[in-house]
Amino acid sequence: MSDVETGERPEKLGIREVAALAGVSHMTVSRVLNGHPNIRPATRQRVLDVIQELDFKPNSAARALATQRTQRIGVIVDSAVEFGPTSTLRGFEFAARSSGYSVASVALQDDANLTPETAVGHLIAEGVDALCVVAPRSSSVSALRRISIDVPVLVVKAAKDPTFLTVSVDQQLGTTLAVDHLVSLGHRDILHLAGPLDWLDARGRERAFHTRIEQWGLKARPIVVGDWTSDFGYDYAVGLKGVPEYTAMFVANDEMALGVVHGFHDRGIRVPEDVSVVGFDDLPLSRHFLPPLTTVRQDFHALGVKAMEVLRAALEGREIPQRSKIPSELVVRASTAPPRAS
Amino acid sequence: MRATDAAARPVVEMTGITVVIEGTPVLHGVDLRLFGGEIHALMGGNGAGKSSMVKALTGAYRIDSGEVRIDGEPVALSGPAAAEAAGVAAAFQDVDLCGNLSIAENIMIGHEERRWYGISWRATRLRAVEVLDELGLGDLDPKLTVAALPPAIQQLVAIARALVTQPKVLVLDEPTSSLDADEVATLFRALRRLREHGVAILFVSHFLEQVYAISDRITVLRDGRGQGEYPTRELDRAELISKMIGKDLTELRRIGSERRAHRAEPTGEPVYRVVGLGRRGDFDATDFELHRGEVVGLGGLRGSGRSEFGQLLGGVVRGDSGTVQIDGRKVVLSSPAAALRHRIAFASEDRRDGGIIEELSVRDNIVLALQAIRGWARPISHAERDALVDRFMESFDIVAPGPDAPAKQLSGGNQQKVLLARWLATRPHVLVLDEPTRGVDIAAKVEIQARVAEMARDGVAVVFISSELDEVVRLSDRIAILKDRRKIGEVSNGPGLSVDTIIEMIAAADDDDA
Repeated sequence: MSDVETGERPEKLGIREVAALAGVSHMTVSRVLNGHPNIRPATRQRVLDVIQELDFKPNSAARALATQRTQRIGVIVDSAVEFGPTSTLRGFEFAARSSGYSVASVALQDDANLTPETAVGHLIAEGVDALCVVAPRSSSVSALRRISIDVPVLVVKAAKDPTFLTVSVDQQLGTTLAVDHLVSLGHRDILHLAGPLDWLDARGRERAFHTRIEQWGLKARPIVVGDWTSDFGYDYAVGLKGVPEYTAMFVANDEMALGVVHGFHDRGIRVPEDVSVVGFDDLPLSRHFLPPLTTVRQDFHALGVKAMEVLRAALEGREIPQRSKIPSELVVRASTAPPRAS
Repeated sequence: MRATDAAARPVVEMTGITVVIEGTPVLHGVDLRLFGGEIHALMGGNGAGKSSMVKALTGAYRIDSGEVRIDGEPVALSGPAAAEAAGVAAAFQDVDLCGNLSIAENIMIGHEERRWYGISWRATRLRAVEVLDELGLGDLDPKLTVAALPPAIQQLVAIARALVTQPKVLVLDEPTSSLDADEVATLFRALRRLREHGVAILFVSHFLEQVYAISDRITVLRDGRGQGEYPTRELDRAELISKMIGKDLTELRRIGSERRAHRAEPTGEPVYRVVGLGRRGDFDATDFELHRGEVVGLGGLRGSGRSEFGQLLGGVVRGDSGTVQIDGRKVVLSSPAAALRHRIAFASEDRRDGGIIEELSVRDNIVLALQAIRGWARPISHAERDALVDRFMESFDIVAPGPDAPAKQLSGGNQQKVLLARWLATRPHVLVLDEPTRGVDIAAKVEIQARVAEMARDGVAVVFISSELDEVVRLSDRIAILKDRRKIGEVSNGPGLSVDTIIEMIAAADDDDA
């Protein structure tokens, strides 16, 4: 999918018209469009309002000439079929557009001929000021590392990185909240159903789970590795011989949790009376599970917005941390309860 | 992390180094470049050629072909003295210090400050302090005896000794293998200081995390061949691992994953449980449980401590921490024989040394362990022995001229089966198998795997160690993941698990967003 502004539309409106309506100088409008930091928020908002009202689209080719920039950001999304990467991309596009950038995005798929190398080459040739890579899997980060890229690169991924700027939802915080919630209910034996461990988020949650369990001094039960799908969760749960020894499950995403809850139901195992289940993501439908799912909320939209914010700061030469995290939060619903009496 | 100007001239440039030892090539045209002010890690599994490369650089091995340049000038490293003269100094894995001598004497040995009246100990000590200062140990009293120092400081004294000649190149062969985490940190601080002074440091190690913590550049070796040089920050852990083991990750991803359906979670009391079992320098204190009829694989790279942990579990090596329980009762595994009496058997990785006795007959090889636990005073009757041997030769399908044939006449795969039979004859409750399929052909491998599965069905709890991860994934109900000599987690086997899962868990950095 591509969303490149063509700039072919005849321009009736210009910066000066916007400036007049907003009651500011045209330089101020220009600064707002280029995302300069030193503008009072109220002024910035006024300008943005006028821009929106007029449906004003700055001519990107002209601006590229003026600023040596294309006002375009390339985005590469790996595994774009999954909920997280897709939602992140949407958040990023939203934030880019509202700060006057266009987005050229490329989706990578497993078996396609499009390698990360060609995707990067393609975007650079098209002319981008910066690259944002939504790289949920370790293989996409590996590939990226081999390519030399001249523009600022931000990678949306959980682990910190020696080379790239990174932005992520705090996986450790979310996992710790989930484990602590179960422990506070009285659970001492918790099974972790992990995601595929070549996904950095799956790995982050697994490691954080391991660490937190050790910190609480709980039984280190072997984890089960799944594939993110509801079917996997279902198959796992119906495959159990009876009520399992553990009293709670921390499932690495809501989709698998949905399958687990369904499988437990078919197996005659009650949630949360027999086994408590906590998910991760807080999908829109998770509040309508039966029972409604206790889960960790990841704000993918905010993640995309944050990524854009960091990249813009990088483009404007402002001080930015190498690694930014946005917090995750626990949403307690009805799938968790104190452990069954043993 | 520092960037080296790629155009900078390396201090050492070894090109196409080939070394042949007793007719067998141990290095095949290996390249290595060391830059001043850089720490360069030489990575590879056991037998990859790391030590050979170090020996070539320090003049201990004759280089059969290839070229060595130091500061651009070709040099002949014809012996240790020549290497030292060329500016190469080494501090070796085995700290060969004299414990009863002082720090100053150890550092300055062979380089004492001489005056017309002989050795000036005052000047010698002063020089020793200067060298120690380079390592950030300027406040260490050079008159202390070395034996009184903690291991990390001893290691630094050994390095100080190497620095006396003011070398351009410092070679450190596994300097951290006997150090704990704090001691490693002390050593790394010293190495960073040296790096700032412009010394080119070659750091030989198989500890992944340490290499990532300290090195600027990595050269990977495998089977005596170079697998390339990479700036550390550009080489992913997963990629490094795939270069070390010689399999493309995508290829690895394809292997495995043909899993049986979900297995039952082990329930009830474990037959074998260790709590905090460990041994300094070999393996960190670890909890571990085994249930009847379960195959638990140890998944780790070479050097991860998988054999060491197996030896601790099998009672071959005694832990210096932790407790061992069998069926809920605390026991002490003071020797392999004691372990056997508790029905814990360990089948060694090396079937020549710890295993098969080639001169003995197949029959004697099979009954050896059983006879040992019965005690030599109570020999096994001929009838019992023959019945036992017949049974195992048949059920294991051991191809041999007969039970009287010496074991050396058997193929590797059949020797391995004899060995399995030997331990199974003791009717173990717990059987630790260290590399039971190494060096056997594919047919024998499949057979041995089938036998292992069968033992588990009969209720034996099996610990399965193999360098081939796909085999571990195929056989195990559960896998303990080992890295840098500790257990970093356990996974239940199932349809979501593949070799890749293990690799990714190992590759996850300690400082990932965990």
